[in-house]
Parts: sequence; C-alpha cells; structure tokens
Amino acid sequence: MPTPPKHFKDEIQDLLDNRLDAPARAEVERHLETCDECRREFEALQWTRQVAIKRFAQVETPAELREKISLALRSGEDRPEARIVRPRFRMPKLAAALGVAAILLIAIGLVVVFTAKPHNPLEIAARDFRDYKAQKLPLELKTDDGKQMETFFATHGVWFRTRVFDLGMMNYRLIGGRIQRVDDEPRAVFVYQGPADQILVCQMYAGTVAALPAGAVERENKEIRFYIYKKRGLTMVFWQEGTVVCVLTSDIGAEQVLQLAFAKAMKI
Amino acid sequence: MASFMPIGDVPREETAAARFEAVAMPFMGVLYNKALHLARSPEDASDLVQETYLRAFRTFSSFREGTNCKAWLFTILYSIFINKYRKQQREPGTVSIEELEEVFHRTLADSNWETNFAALSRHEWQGTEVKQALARLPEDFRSAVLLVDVEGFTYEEAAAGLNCPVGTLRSRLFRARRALFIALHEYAEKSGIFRRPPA
Repeated sequence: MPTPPKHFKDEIQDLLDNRLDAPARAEVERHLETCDECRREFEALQWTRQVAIKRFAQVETPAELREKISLALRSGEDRPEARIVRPRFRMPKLAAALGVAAILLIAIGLVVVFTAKPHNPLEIAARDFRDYKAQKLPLELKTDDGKQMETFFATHGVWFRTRVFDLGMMNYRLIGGRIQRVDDEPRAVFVYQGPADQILVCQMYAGTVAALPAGAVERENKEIRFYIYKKRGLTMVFWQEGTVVCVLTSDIGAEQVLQLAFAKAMKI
Repeated sequence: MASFMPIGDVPREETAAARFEAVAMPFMGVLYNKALHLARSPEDASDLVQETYLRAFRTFSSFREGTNCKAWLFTILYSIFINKYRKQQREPGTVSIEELEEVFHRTLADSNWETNFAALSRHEWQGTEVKQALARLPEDFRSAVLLVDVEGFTYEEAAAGLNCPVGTLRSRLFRARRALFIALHEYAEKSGIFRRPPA
C-alpha cells in the first residue's frame, strides 16, 4: 500500500511569514511545486493576507482626537512625574515673575513629595512581603485555585494578563492574593505557603526589568534572565514575561527562591 | 536657584508630556486604526485611544526608549479593550480547529478551485466587505491578523502585545487566516462573484 504524501501545515504559514531558514524554505517550495493541495493552501493564505493588508489601509484619525489627548496630557491630571514648568513670558513683569516663582516652588515641593514615595521595585516588594507577614496586608481573596485568582485580578482592575503559578510540585500552596496600587497602576500580589509555613509572595506588574536598580546578581535559565537581590534577609527574584515584570520575594534561602522562579518562569 | 531666560528666546522646556508626545504620538494613526477594528465604533475607538495614551503616559517611566514603542502602546490598548470594551460586545462563538480545517480543505478541494480562486483574486474587494468578514472572527483571531499582517509585527512583538505565548499567537494566526479566507469565500459564493465572467 503506498504511503500517503506528506503535506505541510505549519511550514506553509512559516513560509508565508518568512520564518523558515534557507534549507527548510527550499524544501517547502519544492513540495509546493508538486503538491496541488499544499500549493492551493499557500495561495489561499497568501491571497487572504494580501487582501487584509490592502483593505485595512489606515483610517484617518479624527483631528480633534489628537488635540484632545494632547490637552489631557498637558493638563497634569495624568502626569507620570512632577514637571518643572518653565513658562514663556511675554512681558517680564515682576508680578508674572513672582507668579512663576510660586509655581516653581510648588512644583519643587511636588517633586520632593513625589520622590519620597517608595518607587524602587525592590523596596515595594520587600515592604509588601513584610507587611503581609506582619498581617498589615490582608488578602482580598483567599483561595488555593490559581484560575480563580487570575479571574479575580482580571475583574478587579488588573489590565494585564496574570499567570498565577501552580507550585504544588514544590509543596507551596496558593493561599490568596490582593491588588496593590503603585502610582495608580495595579500590581497583582499573590501569596504561597510552604510545608513549614514559609511564605512566598509573588507580584506581577506592567513594566520592564530595565527599570530595576543596579546591584543584581544575574542568572539565566531557559533563555530567561533573572535578577536576584538580597536585602535584609529577603531574597527577591525578578524576571520579565512579555510586558509584565514578575517578582518572587521570600525570607527562605536565596537558592530556593531562585529554583521556584526557574520552575515557573515562562519565556514570552 | 532657578533663573529665567529672556522672553521669546527661551527654548521650549522638554516636559514629560513633550517627551512622551515626541515618542508616542506618531503612532496615533495606527493605534486608532486598530482601535476601530476592535471597538467597531468611531466613538469607542477614540475613547480607547485616549485612554491608552493617558495610561501610557502614567507608566511612561517604565518604557525604555529605543524599544518598540508601537508594541508597547498596542499592549496597553489591547489590555484596556479586553477589560473594558470586550465585555460590552457579543463574543462570536469559538471556532474549533477541526471544523475550520475541514471547511478550509473542502473549499480547496473544490473541482472549480482554479476558476473560483481566479474570480476571488480578480474581484475588487471593498474595505467594507473585508471588514465584515473580519468582524465575524473571534476577537483574539482578529487581533492576530491585524497585528501581524496589517501592522507588520513579528510573532514575538504581537505575542507580547497580546500578552500570550508566541505559540498561541502562531496558532491564532493559523486559524484566523483560514477563517478569514472561508468568510471571504462564502461572501463570494453568496454575492455571485464566482458566476461573473472575467472582465
């Protein structure tokens, strides 16, 4: 009985998206010359792609939208940091100068207040871990179900997708979580308990590991770079998953925290 | 102590808003386009884009200059859409890959394939016809096509934008293109495109 011919599937898409190396590309192209079924598939997908590109030409942005956003950005309501505004003067009047000086003083005051908040991701992670252990950070949802925890985050203002790990294989059980807000941005915080009541706190937030302070010990595992900090008896391990930063914090041994991170980190 | 420069000669102070605008505002057109395909109404699209920019501005300190700003903005836009707008819209039913494959391959195996495909290619597809076909796709599929095919994102960038693994993005795109082809093919059948003689 003859062997049925081999057809390509994923490879056809890869060819279309130029994701094949030269030998694989040559092999698929050779196959397309002789296989009607695969050739038709390639033609159909290529045509669909071209129609999509051609017919979704950019719609013109409403002119007022740009203006509206620009105004909102400059209104100060959503500023990421206190700005020192140096306005232009049409007339160098003393009153105007005094007014600006007053504005400057207020702005400088705002900068001082603003920078006094804990912005350092290490300090935030450490503070939350200590607060939880001191029972100052109550869990908003107590559950050992990771999916339920993820749904809670998604329905309570965490706009990025969270991934609540199952650490059961390492004898760490999810006990619940809560949402923290830093600069009005949500952080998903969830807590695990180990076999001897050890506590492990995981946080996820939208950001980049590029914003982490210097001084990390860096390790790589499964093509993921981990940033390890030790601070006053705590170990914090950070890594990036897509546009989200994950951090595990605990006072158990550093190597153990790292192994837990290695086990659950995912390259996105 | 702060000193004031003479009037009229003061170079514009580079505020956070000005820095942000310089980096992010050039992408407003593509962002609005994407928002319109997702939200489907110009009013919602405008709101979505505005909210995206305001949220992006709040987290601007986390953006590393020199990295892909468009992908970063898309990530934010998509997240807002998922959490706010998608809930208001009726989600199309999920499409099983088996069903999709079966219909797709039945279409390709049609004895009139060559003639039909020539008619499909010849037809001057209007934006509205294609948009209607795209609107029938589940939102995850639609986003994959829009980001990879229309916006030219790599799989990795699109996956980051949609906050999913690259394998998932690849699978969505695989299904999305098939589903879009089927939808266009069905449209052509119903509207008599296959029956029209070549011009």
